[in-house]
Amino acid sequence: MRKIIATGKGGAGKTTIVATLSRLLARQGFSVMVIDTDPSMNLAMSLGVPFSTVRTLAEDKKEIHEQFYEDDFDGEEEGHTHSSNINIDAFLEKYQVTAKDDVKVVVMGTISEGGGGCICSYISIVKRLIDYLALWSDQYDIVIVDSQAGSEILGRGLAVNYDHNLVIAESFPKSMEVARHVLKLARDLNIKRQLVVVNKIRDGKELELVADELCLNGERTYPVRYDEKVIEADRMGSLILDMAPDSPVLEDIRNIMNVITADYEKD
Amino acid sequence: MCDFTVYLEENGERTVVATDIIKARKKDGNVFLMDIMGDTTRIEAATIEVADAFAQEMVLKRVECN
Ligand SMILES: Nc1ncnc2c1ncn2[C@@H]1O[C@H](COP(=O)(O)OP(=O)(O)OP(=O)(O)O)[C@@H](O)[C@H]1O
Ligand SMILES: [Mg+2]
Repeated sequence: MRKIIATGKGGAGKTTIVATLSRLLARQGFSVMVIDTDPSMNLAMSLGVPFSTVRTLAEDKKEIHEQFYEDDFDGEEEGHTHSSNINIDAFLEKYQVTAKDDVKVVVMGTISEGGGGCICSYISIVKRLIDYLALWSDQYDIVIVDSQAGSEILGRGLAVNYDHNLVIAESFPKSMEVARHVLKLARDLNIKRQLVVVNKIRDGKELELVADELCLNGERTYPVRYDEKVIEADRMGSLILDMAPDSPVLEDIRNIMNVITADYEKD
Repeated sequence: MCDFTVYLEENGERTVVATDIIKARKKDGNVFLMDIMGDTTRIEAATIEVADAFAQEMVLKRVECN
């Protein structure tokens, strides 16, 4: 199972690109799961899934925690605990919903009360879930994680050894600053490949500018052009894939998909 | 991430015995540590000296057995 994470500054286009890419990959015949780890939870909506139909992992944190981290220190031996008790397919029945093109969506969720602590434990549940999927479920070819804005997600070790980090950036300094930090942290986590996606491009020089500014170390850059119709689609809780299938944005995201699948063939 | 790197302190020296620890329990004179992936490590004849969430560190000390 391949793993992709999308990272970058707030509003750079992570959710739009993850949602679109997931559906394009599904149309190529891959079985795809997307996981929203952003406490703002926009991904399901972008994929046309009404939020009311989603049960988030956070809502059942205590129950899932007991299942995933059952305290069986009773055994004399060290090693891996209890994992075989978990029926991952039954688990998914409860938390995954199906979007267009048969993309499956899981939403991590967020803190339910003021003063309710940090989201670390939810992130660890997602990490564990993805590892279970890789070990015991042959349902998915690709898992894509949409993340919260900024680089913090990479400080949590969720994405260790992932296949791709899609660093989504716009060509302005604050966005590039976040991209630079994300690139650095992802190198520390041994993510195999990083694709820098320069989104909302309006003129050809932006790609070069970002590549120069980021002092890239072998990472490749890919443009996604600006198109008002992406915003219009977003306002209607839809995707450009459904609203304007001839948009140049789709050509660009398709190009990124081809790069990713070509990378899979190389490994 | 809010998890602990766990050190064992012996003879004034610290060594890392486990990382990414989310749960620790003292049991029968040993300390059991569970990491984010559910893997457990048993540290024999030890006790928990300090758990410091700010530093994300937990320090264990060896208990002398008679
Ligand atoms: N190529 C594009 N052309 C025009 N608008 C775009 C493009 N890509 C994304 N947008 C718009 O930019 C805004 C932010 O996009 P999106 O929500 O995908 O970003 P994000 O990185 O997920 O943000 P957040 O960090 O808040 O989750 C949205 O209004 C979206 O419609
Ligand atoms: Mg988003």
